[in-house]
Amino acid sequence: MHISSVLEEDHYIITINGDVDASSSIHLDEAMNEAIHGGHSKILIDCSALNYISSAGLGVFMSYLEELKAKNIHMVLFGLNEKVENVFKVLGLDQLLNIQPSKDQAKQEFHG
Amino acid sequence: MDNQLKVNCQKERLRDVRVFVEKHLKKHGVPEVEVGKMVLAVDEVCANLMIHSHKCDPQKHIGIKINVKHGKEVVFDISDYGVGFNFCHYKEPSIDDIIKQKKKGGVGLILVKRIMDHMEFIRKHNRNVYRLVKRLQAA
Amino acid sequence: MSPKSTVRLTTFTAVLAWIALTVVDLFLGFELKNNVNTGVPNFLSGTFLTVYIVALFYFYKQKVENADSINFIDLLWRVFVTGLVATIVSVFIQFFLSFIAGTKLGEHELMQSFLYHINLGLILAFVISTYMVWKKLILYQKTKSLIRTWQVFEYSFLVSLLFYFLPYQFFDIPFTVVFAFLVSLGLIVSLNLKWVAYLNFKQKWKSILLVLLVILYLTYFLVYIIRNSGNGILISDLINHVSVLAVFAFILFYAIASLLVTLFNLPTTSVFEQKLEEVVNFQRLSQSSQTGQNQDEIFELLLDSSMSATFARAAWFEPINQTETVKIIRKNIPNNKIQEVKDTFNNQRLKKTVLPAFRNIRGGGDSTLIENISDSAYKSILVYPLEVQNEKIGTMVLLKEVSDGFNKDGINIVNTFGNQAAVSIENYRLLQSAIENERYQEELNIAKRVHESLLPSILESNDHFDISAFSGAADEVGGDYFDFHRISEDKLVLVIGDVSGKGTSAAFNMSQMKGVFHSLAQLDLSPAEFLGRANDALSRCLERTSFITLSYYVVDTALKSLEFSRAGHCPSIFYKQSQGEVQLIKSKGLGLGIIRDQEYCKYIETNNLNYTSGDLLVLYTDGITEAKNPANEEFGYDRLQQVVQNNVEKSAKELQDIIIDTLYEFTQTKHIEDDYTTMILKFK
Repeated sequence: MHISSVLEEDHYIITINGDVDASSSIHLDEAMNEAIHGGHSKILIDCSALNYISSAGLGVFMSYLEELKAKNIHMVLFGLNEKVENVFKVLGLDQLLNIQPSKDQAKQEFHG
Repeated sequence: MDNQLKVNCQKERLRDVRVFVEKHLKKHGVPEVEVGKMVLAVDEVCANLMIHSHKCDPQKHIGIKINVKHGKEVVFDISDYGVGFNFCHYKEPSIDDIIKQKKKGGVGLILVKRIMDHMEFIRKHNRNVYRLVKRLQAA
Repeated sequence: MSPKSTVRLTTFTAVLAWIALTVVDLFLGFELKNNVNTGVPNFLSGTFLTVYIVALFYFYKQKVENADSINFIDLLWRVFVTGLVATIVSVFIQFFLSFIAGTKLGEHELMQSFLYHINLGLILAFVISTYMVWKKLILYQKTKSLIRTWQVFEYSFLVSLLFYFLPYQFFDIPFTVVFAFLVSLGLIVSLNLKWVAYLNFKQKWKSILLVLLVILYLTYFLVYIIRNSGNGILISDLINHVSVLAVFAFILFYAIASLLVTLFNLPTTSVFEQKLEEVVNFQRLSQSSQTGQNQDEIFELLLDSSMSATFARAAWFEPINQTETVKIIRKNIPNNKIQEVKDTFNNQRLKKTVLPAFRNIRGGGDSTLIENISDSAYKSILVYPLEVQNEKIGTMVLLKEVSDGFNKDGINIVNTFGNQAAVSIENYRLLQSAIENERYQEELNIAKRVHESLLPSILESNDHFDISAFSGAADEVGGDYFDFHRISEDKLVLVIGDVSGKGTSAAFNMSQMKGVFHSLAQLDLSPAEFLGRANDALSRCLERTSFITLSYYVVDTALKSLEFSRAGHCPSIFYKQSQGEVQLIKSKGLGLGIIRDQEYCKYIETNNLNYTSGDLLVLYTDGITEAKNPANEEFGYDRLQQVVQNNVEKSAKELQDIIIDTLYEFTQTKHIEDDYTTMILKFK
């Protein structure tokens, strides 16, 4: 798995490549930590190349939910394939997280 | 014996587990969506065992056996030796609590429970079997 | 009138009549002698005499007929004593008369008449009493015609009493006719002497003696009467009394007849006695089983009876299955002699036939053998195989010192005894088995009560589940066991099991199991731990051959989990509503008490699963799945699962009733061969 982060205008975009499982979720956690503590208020997670996510990956997102709310940071996920989106739905995380089909629609969320 | 896999307790091996499960299920014509869920469930259980039961000790092993019964149900028997973890006694926490406590783990078994139709923990002497059963919708 | 008052009345009447007769006769004698008229009518004498006779008649009738004893010798003895008293008194009177002879008193007619009347009274009493005893003897083994003849005789006698009032005398033609008529009747009835046959040898001798003496008395009295006849002063002359004379003739004749018959019967008495003894022995044999005699006593009785029936000198009985208590029974023969006789006999048989009787002793189908043998002491032998229900159970051997000692009659009687002994032994055995069976039934009843008392009577349903259980006991108590124990608010333990064996031992093992369950269940052990410890505890107290199959469930209503282990018990049925299908939940495990050390734990598997509302757990014992229908098919797991599957919506109690009803319908009976139990848990 591979994670890369870029800043497009004021949008901090984290792109996840491959599988996020118990062994690799730590990298996602680091990326998230960096993004939140870098003072960015608009975080986009690009999941279009995310092949697989397990509870460890979900746990990373969930563990930051409180902090995001407290710091008024907006986070939007986009480009999830059906399989991955299903995993989010199983736990009902689709209602807690902002999930959008595409990058454009995701950016719309910050201007709405 | 192509329905069995033995891995040592290294998180890196989880990928092998997923590949094995996916391949085996696809070979038996299990629908893609279902395969994805079951791969996840097996991954979750194995990850749990590696991390919590065996502290990622590479000397320890986990066995996985898959039985696809007449295309009607799939039975996974995940086994290990040791104290074992009785997932039937696992009390499901609420998602809100997990979020509030900022824990990074704890939802794996919820996933398993929600995905699988039946879970059984079988202990015999020193060997534990974590049995997961998933019924397949008639195609 | 009661017999007692009859006796009293007749005695009184007789005494009064005798006194009156004597007084009247004395007066009449005095009149005759001195030719004066005292105004006493002549007919009074006859009247009082008749009254006296009739009174005596009813007195003795009462006495003899109601005598307790029908012993002939006693009866004869009674006659003898009466006669003796009469004779002694008579002799004494004669002696007294000769003593006073020559004195004025001795010559006095009235004195003579008085003494004569005493004699007369005694003679009549003797005659009448003898008549009554003879009557009893004659009417022994009576027939209807005999009774009728006798009645004619007796009534004729009573009617003839009136003849005395007619002016006929001895050897007048009417007198002779009446006399001849009475005597011939007397002769006819005298032909009945059957009682003699029932006397044994000794008794016959006694009766001969007694009858002989009676004849002597009678002769003496007859002579006395004749001698005093014609003496007008005595008034009452018995020679002219046709009835008295006829009875006199009758009793004399019967006495003589009895004497002669008894005498001639003497030689055949032993044969008759023998037959009688055989009959008695036969009866004893046939009753021996009822009187609770054991087999040995029956053998002994058979031996004794056969010996006495055949006049054997020595005998033995050899049972086939000899044990401590069943041994050879010997009579007049030592053990070593038995072997000697056996050898002699076998050698002899060997020469004649191929199969010697004693070697063939277990062959069955043997029959009674009689042969002569050349033994030093015994010359003939009778071998009888005793069979009960075509199974030979022993051999009886009878020995005699003379050759050709046994005849066909002997074989017949031995066979008869043998058959009866066989019947008795069979009865004895049946009785024993009946007693055994009764004892066993009693034991079973106790076992059943114990069994029932060990099962819980109340199962508590609560907010988390609905529970119901049913246990049906087979006719013969099995060892189904189910129980439950609440460990805490959220935790409940269920157990269902089957104790090996039946009857009391099963009930006993079950009570052990209950004890173990209730002591260990409180410790809140995992099922595997429970089974390990239970195995350990039961290994110490269960018989070697016994074991217990068990399923142990821990229901945790907080975690909604079921934790269970199976110790060789049939797999339970679990219905998961979300899956919509029943399944057998199998887990591996060995019955308790099969491996009696720590190795046992290796074979125990603990299963855990979670339930949700609407799920069902059906526990049962193999009495249900193994119950058979008339076509010998088992009810089976499939049928049971199907019944559950079809009724998953029902409550625990309803489902239970449906299962039991379906089972009964299948077996077509409510008498299932084994115990059958089911316990159903429906989660809410």
